[in-house]
Amino acid sequence: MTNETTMPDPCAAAFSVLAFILKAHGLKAEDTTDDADGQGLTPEEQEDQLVRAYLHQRERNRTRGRPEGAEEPDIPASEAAPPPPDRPTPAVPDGKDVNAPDTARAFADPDTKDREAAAPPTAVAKPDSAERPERPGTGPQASPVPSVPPERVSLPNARAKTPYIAPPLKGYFDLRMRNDNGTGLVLGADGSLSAESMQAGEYTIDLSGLKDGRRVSVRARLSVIPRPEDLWTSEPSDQNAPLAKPDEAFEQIEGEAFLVAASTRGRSHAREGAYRDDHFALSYDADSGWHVMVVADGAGSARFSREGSRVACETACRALKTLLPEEVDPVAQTMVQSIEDSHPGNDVPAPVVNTLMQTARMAAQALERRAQELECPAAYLSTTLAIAAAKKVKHQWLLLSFSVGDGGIGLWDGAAGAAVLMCRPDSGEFAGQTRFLTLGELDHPHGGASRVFVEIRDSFTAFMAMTDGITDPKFETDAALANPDRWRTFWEDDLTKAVTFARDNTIIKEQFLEWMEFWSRGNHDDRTLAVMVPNTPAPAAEGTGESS
Amino acid sequence: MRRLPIYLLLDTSASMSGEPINAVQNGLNLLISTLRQDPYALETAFLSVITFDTEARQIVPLTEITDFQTPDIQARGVTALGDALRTAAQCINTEVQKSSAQVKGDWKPLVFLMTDGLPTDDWKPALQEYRVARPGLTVCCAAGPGVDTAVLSEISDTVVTLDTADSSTISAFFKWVSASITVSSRKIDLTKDDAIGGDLPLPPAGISLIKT
Repeated sequence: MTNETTMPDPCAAAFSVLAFILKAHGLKAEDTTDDADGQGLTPEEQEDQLVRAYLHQRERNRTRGRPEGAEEPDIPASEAAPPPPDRPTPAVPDGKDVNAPDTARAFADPDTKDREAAAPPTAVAKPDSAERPERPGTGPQASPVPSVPPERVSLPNARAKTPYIAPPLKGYFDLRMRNDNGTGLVLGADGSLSAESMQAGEYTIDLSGLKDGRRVSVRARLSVIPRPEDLWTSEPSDQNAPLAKPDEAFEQIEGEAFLVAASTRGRSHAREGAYRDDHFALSYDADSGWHVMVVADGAGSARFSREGSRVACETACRALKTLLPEEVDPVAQTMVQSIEDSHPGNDVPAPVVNTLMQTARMAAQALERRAQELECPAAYLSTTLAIAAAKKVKHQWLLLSFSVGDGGIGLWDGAAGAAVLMCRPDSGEFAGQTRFLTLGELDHPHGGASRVFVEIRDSFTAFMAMTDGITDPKFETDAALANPDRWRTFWEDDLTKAVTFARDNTIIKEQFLEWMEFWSRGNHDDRTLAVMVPNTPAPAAEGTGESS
Repeated sequence: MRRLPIYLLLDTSASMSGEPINAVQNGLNLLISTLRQDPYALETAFLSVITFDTEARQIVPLTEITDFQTPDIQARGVTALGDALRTAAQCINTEVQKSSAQVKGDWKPLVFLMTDGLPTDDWKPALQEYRVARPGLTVCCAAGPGVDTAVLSEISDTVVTLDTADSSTISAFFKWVSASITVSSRKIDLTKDDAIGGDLPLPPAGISLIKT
């Protein structure tokens, strides 16, 4: 039913004139009340309504600089779909009322459009509702108008569970949030979007804003990316399978120094329920006074490397127990004396080199024997090896080291601010190349005495041996490993902030293992760290010689 | 942290119009959403997109997975394969960190090159430049029967061919690329060595792996 047909006769002529004028200006009869068709209105009311609509339309066209008669794409969602066949289909088929941001109707995604379209149209008359066109076929100008799809923008990606702020959207004024789609994003006064914490996922945020003087809808796409920390899972390894190894280990030993070591499984192994490939061994021999720390990193690509690192550590530790007193002790006094007399020798004494080389050779031989027992190639047991040994000789500490492969051995003397790198970096020219403990490697010209290091000092803060699971994240490069500042940072600002290296620390195990879990992006290797701290002379009450 | 740089060289010449280019666009979306769920890739892989038609452009610089946003791509023009190789070489030279005593460099980049036609420019000198940039592993993909695999075989030892350049096969290719990146980022983590061709997963049906 149209307005014309319901109109009483006496008003018909006047109304026709009005309608003609309106039509010439591209205006249609508007529904300003629930009674959209004007039924029940007196002729005077209908006329008044038409005139107001006309004036409003003219005003609007004037302020927007648009030619009168140009149509506004003001179609509520419920009326926009489906587009009439005689109109061009919008590029994005989810036309919405882009110029009526105050209506309660939310913008619909294409996939939620049907639900939106089925919702009843907003019933409450709004101040701008006079702008709404009438439904097709109910006015002087019946053709519907195309809808304007929302303007699409992409927000910078967010990280899950991480505070987020996106800079203000460019090109829009007076932005308003219409639907944050559960993200909790808040629109700031400056147009920025922020959230304290969001869940990972893909989101669409509906906003509106002023652009070129018109209110337009803006659909912002936001990807909230999971944190890698949350994607790592941990499966215990099978402790009943052959060659099983506990997923973590901790040990402490008291001698003339305090020895502590921990080894934990890397995230990449934990994720697959694989074994820890690292290993360590500590010993203190009260009879000889030698402290020994051995750490080894089984090659990630080698099938039984967890066994290789164990065999290497235990063999080396056992061998040193005999070799150090037999071979090194006879020259130890002379070595220390030469330091005290300020006549340090240039060369490492042959017995020291021989002892450490012989130890490494025995460990390499043990790997070969073990491979034969397991009926597998020796390469299946590939491992690195790092040995740190120390003994108090007279008033001096005699410190020895040897290593094959990456990882690190360092001596930190906090009082002097000095760090001594006691290993030769074995990383190759290219990232990732490392050497493993084999007889061939030890016999190679570059594999001999240059791997042996000796230090003699009257005091030190900490003597440390570690696998690359520690050196990679904490030192990164060989240059950093040789930099005293990095050792100071590592010891003073990092490790001892979390772990108190004292014999009477009853929670040192918990502290140490918790520190070992530090987060470092891209570093998921097994981690092993052995630390030797000399007994502080102050509390002196404690004797030495606790059996290990 | 040592990054695993991934370069995607995508042919956006006019012959890719329609279904193929849409499939590539969808493939990029699929690729990135897959990698976002993999902790190895999320931490180490960095992604760059270079498109080539009448000329090559790096439309996304080397970007970490977390920040990567899928670009919009359009098909037009001819197939400047040589310019693509030259652009890739320049990007690798400027973006990929080399190892030194002070800096532990990035892993060698993985390059995935996809084309559906014959090169229309002089690509051989560009190939020399590309080789000098020392990419780690290059995988060439011949999308459909119109591709001269002899050309691609000169670029890389690893060439895959798509039986057809339809959306399902292109989608399968991108899935395979995702798997290759995931496997490679995991492999470098475990072995601390650069990824090589032998580490790639087996391609699915519709994609043939040619080793030359």
